[in-house]
Amino acid sequence: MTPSARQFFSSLALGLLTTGLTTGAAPAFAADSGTTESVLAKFKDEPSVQDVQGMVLEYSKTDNHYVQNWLAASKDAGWLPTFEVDYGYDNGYTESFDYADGTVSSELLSSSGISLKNSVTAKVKWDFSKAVMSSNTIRVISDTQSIVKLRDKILDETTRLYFDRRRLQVDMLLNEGDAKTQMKNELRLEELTAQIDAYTGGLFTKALDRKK
Amino acid sequence: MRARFAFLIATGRVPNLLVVVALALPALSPAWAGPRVGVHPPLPVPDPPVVAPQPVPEAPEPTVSLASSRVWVEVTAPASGVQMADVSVSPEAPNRWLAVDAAGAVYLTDDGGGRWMLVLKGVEAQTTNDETVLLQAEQNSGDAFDGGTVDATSTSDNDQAVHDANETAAADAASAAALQDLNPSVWFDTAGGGVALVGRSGETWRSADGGETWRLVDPENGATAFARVGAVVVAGGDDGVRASLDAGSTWLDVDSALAGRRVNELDFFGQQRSRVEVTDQALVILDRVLFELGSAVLRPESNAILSDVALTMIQHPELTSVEVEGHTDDQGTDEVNQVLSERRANAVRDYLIAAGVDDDRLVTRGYGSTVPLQPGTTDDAREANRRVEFRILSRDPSLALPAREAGVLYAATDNGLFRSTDALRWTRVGAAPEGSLVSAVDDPDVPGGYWVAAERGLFRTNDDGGTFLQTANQPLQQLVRMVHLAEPGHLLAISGAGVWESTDSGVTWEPASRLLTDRDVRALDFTAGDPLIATANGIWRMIKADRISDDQEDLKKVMPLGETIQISLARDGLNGDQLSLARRTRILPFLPTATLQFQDAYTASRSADFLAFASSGSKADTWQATVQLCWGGCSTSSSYYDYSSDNYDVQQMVDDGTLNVIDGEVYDDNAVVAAAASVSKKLSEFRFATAQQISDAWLSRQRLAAQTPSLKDAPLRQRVMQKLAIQELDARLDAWTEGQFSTWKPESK
Repeated sequence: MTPSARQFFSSLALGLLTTGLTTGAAPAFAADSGTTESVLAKFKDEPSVQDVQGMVLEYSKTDNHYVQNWLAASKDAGWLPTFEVDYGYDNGYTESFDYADGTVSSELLSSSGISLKNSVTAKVKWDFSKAVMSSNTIRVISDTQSIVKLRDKILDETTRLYFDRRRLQVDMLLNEGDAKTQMKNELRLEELTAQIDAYTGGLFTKALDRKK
Repeated sequence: MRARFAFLIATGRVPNLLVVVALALPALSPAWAGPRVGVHPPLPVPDPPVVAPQPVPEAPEPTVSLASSRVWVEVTAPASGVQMADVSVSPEAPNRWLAVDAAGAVYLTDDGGGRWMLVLKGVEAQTTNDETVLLQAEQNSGDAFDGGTVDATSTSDNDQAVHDANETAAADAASAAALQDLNPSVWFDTAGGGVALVGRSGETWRSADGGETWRLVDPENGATAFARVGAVVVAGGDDGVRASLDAGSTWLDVDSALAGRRVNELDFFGQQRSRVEVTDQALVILDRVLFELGSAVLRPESNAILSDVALTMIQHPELTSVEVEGHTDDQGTDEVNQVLSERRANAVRDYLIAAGVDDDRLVTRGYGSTVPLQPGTTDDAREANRRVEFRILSRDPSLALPAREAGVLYAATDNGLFRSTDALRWTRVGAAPEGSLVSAVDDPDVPGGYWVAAERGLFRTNDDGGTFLQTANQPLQQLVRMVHLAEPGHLLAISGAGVWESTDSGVTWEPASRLLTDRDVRALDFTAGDPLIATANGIWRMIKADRISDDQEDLKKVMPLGETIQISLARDGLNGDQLSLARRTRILPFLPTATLQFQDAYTASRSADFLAFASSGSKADTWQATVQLCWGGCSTSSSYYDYSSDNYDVQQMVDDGTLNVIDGEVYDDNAVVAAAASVSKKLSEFRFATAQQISDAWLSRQRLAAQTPSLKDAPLRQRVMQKLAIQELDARLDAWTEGQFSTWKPESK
């Protein structure tokens, strides 16, 4: 590492520590004093894990009511008939000519007629098998499974990230460490926050800012 | 009638009363003793033979597998970003553990992994990088370390706080390559006294205060395994074994049959099962030495007893001269018997010498049939007279070794199995499998029985090493170590592919890796009865998942496991209603398409005849209603596609709904039943996997909660981390139950 690079990183570390870029709680909690509750109370102003899970559901559109709506829609759709309406309009005009000597000059209009026909056909068709089961219903059932899987997965991942972040905060609170360690912890905290933001569409940071 | 009952029972739709009746009928009527379906006449039933009542033997308790009752939980890692290599538990304090990482750094915990302290820095790699040239281990007493990153002993950049990322990465890669052969090992002396030893990269360190401070005791030799036999501590390494008579302070090279061999594992069998007794006049063997018929070739079954004779002579150096006597029965001529007895005595002598007995302590003599043990010509007498005896000719009491703990030490090496009772003299177990061996595992329930785990399989002997048979019906890949647990035939093996257990003496193996996410297992020990392993990335403890005592009322205040699973599986998208797809699709072929058609038509016409001066007109308004019911094939026109055409567009057909893509599989619009079956199967798998995950999380949560009271005096950080771990599991369970887990109250039931 070049001296200038070292100087840069040292400055960065110092800068992070002195300019209040810290997103976690302030360090220097007496290492072995206090209670579990008093340590965790340091983070009471941050969103709870339930809040974060709610943000994830909202942002990912995987909440249960989406699933319910899809299932209900597929079930009702099977009972709906297909409906066809045909409208027919026929307007006719006829003329008859007589030709006395067989030449055009002897043409004589003998009769004429007009006709008009209007028709309306309405067709309603039920496929009762679709009311019981259709490929659309199956697709919806399959896709709702996928939604639940996705929901479980992202909630699990977000919960893990949330508590990884909280554990790091506790470590930072109980162990100050040297400047290098502090800088690494700060960067890791930023990274975890950004990862949670990715799952919540930035709502997590907004909530942090709001509660500060 | 019977068939009807059988059907009702099978379909589960019979009222309870009918079930009772149906079940009672076989006892009431002989007709019901026959087949349950059909109308065959009752078969004649012979009278049962009259036998005296026999006592029913008590069935042995089935062995409870670890996998069914325990889960792995990761304890706080000694350090982040390092690979673990070994772990050892103090015999005096079950919460005092030593762990060593792949770089040879040693960590100590006094509270069962809550807080680790770096007590001995690691060996830094010798690399080709000129800036990183250090091969040094430093003693470090008391650098408190608590879960952060351990920096290797610094190099020329020691005074710098920040390393250049590229240089660090290159150094790490070089270090990893150079450290591959370190194979560090850590061991608490089983005799206690706070002695611990670490072997790594050609050096051995010793601690006399339970692992807190360390002293380099052998700068020349490392060790891959340690063990104690009696007063002797043994270290096995790349070149056989070394021994220490002062608990590891000083070491002696042992020139033995193990010289030049790499020792993979040292296993001590607590009870010596020798079948040789030393009396005033003889070594009395409790088994027979067998030869091929009319020959001096030893039969393989004799290996075990002769191995015991060799071991006994090595244990008793005061027996300075022993005569190997060969005897035959009275069949054949005296000349032939004489020669045969001499040759057989010599064959035994040769075996003992090969097994490690000094040749000048052995003399041989053939007696032919001149000294029969039993007079007579019966088969029994002749069998008793064909024998080998060991008579003590001279004894020097000054050479006798001090009394030692009964037991045998086995060394599994890169080529063969060896055993010793004093760690100084070793004999090869000749019948043991060739090649690299991993462990020898005593079977305390079967005299003479033990297992030998080899890279190519698991072998079993029931005659103390006389013969071996391969026992596992499946290979255990990347096997590292195997141990026997308390129950008969219950084995636990660690490997590079997780933890495995067998409850049937090694014949079948099942994974015991529940919740173990890091399957690269390197070492195994036990703490307070719980298996403790070092994996590549951490330390894991296998705890009982259901150890909840009556006084832990708090644990009963959470939603029960069954209800948790039930609520989770009832969620929309994976509830059981959708599993009725099969039933619903069964009626599809019988359902019609109904069409109701209504048509209204208005027709008007008018015409004029100019020649006749007449005109006419008409007007009509008609309507028609039609109802059509159609079964099958009514609407082919709208869904017909010419699949043979090159012009069809699959995506368009999917968009049109003619084809359906379900979980990556394409179904025709008419293949509803097939699609339903596929979805139903996937739903079942999903439900099962979800239930398994919930079960794992719930059991882990309860176990962690059960530990909490015992941690009230633990360091604050450990208590907080414990609390966070429980909260995390609660949050996961909440996600599965849509928040109902944490809001559940016992009285709500």
